[in-house]
Amino acid sequence: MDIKKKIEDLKKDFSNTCDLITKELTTKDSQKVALVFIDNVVDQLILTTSVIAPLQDLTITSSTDIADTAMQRILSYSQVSEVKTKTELINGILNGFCAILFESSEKILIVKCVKWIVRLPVEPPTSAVVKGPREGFVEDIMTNISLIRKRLKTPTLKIENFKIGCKTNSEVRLLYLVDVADPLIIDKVRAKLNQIDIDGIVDSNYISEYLSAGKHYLFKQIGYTEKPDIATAKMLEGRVVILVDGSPIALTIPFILLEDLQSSNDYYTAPMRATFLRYLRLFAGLLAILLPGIYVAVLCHHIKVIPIKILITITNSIQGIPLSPLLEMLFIIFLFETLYEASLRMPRYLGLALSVVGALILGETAVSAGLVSPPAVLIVAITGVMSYTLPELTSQISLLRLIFTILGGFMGLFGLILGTVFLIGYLANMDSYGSPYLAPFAPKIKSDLKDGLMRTGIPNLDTLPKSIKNKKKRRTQNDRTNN
Amino acid sequence: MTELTTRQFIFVCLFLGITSKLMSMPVALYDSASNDAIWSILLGFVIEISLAILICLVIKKHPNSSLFSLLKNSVGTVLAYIILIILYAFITIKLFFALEEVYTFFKEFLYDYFSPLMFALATFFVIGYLSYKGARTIGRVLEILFPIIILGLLVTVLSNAGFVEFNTQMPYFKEGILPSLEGTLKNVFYFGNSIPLLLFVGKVKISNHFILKSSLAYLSLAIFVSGFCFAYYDIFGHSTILGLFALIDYSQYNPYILDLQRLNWLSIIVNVTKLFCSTSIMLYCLGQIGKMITHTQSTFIPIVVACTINFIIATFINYEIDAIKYIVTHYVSYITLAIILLVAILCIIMIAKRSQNVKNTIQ
Repeated sequence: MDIKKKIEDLKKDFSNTCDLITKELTTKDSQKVALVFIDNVVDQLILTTSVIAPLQDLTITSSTDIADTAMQRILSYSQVSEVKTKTELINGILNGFCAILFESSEKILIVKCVKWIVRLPVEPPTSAVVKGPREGFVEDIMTNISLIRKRLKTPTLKIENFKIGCKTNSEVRLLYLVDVADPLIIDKVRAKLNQIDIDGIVDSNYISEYLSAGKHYLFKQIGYTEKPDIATAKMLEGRVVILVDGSPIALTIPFILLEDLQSSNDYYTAPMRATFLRYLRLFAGLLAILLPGIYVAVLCHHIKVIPIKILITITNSIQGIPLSPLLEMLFIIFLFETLYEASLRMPRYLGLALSVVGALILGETAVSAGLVSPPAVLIVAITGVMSYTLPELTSQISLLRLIFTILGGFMGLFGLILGTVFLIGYLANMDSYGSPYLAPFAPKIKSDLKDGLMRTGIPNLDTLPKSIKNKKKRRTQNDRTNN
Repeated sequence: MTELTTRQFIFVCLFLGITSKLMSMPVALYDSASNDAIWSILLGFVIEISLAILICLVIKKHPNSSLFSLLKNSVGTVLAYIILIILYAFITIKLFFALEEVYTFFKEFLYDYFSPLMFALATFFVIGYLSYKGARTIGRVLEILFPIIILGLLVTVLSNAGFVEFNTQMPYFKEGILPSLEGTLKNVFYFGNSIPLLLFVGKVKISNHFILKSSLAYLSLAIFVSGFCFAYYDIFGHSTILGLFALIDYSQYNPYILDLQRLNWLSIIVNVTKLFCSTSIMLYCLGQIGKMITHTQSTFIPIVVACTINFIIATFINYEIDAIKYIVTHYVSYITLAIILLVAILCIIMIAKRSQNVKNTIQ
């Protein structure tokens, strides 16, 4: 077939897009060859040195196919293969390969010349550490895999490839240690990944919603991390990790609530300090949820039980406030959440200014205007700060804070206790791939408590967590579980 | 299918066992037995622990059987249904009394007005949710809440321990042993809390020393409750401030340290949480009985029915706590004694039966 016809056909397949570049060459012995690739996706240097130069130098004997000879020549420079179907050809070009068409041969080759724009694996803003590794995942899946490979130099690290999204054709990789991870979990995750039917995956969060057991859970069932050291530690415990091309966030499965109370910093600091910080986070999180509700419940329903000195102070502060304690608290929470959301979405410099304006001017003006009382502003401010001790749970905390405030306002202490019992029941009912969400506290798993709220020294953490199903019992080399 | 670990089952025993025992029971027993009330408590615990051990033996002997199949094999189908209906009625009364206690407690101490409808709706929503989610969820909730509750109770109880003088109740048995026997007999309803444990046959993963652990748990409960009652009677027995709820009296009317009144909060939170947990277990048991009687696959409808029945009772039969106590001590306790005897006989028959390896379809 005429090479021009082949190029035209290919262009039609790409809807005549302007960034599909075609280059016609002539070899040393006057054979016509065409290169087809997408502009700005292939590396021009690789293209020139590894493809164009060898092709221009090409000479063939009458008995050999030009494509085979070209393949042999290019192979010494770059990764080259023959494509059998049109889909393979199109996918190859879309993934940054350069296609080589020949006039005297029906064979088509594709050569890897890809050069995506990749940022450096810098420390992710959401997981900053005082001590410890600072590398973070990036949007390029190969870089992310190399960051994990650098830390896990073992032949038991297995990586499975999936293509998800009929339009985006995103590469998704499932990583696990074959000698540690539970095969049932792997099978379940694999099956769920294969079932995903969607036009495109823009971020790993798209996948996490498919992998979650329930569609309407308030709490996440899949872990997220932007750091390769955390992903590695989780794989060593028997979890599987999912990387998605184009996303700097790795998913970890199974996930339990305790993981949100832990931080990678905990393992790079003294055990006593880490234990103290974990308890601090827990109490701060609980207070962030309950404090506005308790304040409203006491003021609306149980004012006579407040000690007299505190009561006088509060009464003086709320005198003249036109709103009821519940409405006042809801108003301040609404203001706080609006400021938070606006500061996230505004351009950075405006956002900074807005947070200062919000905190200092709006709050002060609202108090001076007599719309809200200082204790209510103080409580929302305190709980706002406290909620950020658990950054992964901030959205859940803010929603629960609102619910508990309403419960406290309508039903007082009774509502708060009911809400707490319901919340614990809700969490106790959750499972993530066979791991109880409240493990190792409910059900109690004694050996896992070594790294629960209390962290013992790393030499003592010699057993793998039982709350995560896995093949091994111990981290050490002489584990005999499989024998 | 086993749903509870032995540890979780022990928490179920403790939560069921402690229902009302720190609130209504000490006051009601003192009305009946006066200074000998502490002996009534000890005798009541002998009954309760004996029954609990018998039920635990059944659970251990038949780890893979359902209660219905066991009853059917032991006493025949018709009697099995009758027994289940009796258990249903008994647990419904216990649930009603426990809820009424929470409601009165709130109405008396924390609210100027507390709508019974609002109370019933909110309560049944939460305990209905927990009981529908099953024993596994309830067991896990108890595991989380138990340390908090026990810590709160210990702080409350120990805060007044210094005021106990050990002699204000002496001498015992001034009028012979009859008052203490009468006290137990009239209040045996409070010691019927181990009966719902029968519904956990085939649902517990039996670990080593299951019977020993369960017995020790009950013994600890008996020591704790008796200790609390002893201190309570010693401090408040002869005063005129004996109120409706022992734990509240205990934490509220401390004669020496006024600031200790703030502990009232602790006992309120602890007691209400404890009662929500135990009522969830009772509602779960009602759901299980309903499932056995109707042969449905899911517990949803039985629990909705149980919730509706109890909702109607809790909303519309709004007796004063004194009236309920009177009914309990004068009528219900005698019926309870008969049910305790019935359950004990049944347990002995079931223990004598050969254990089944094949699981019955109805669970």
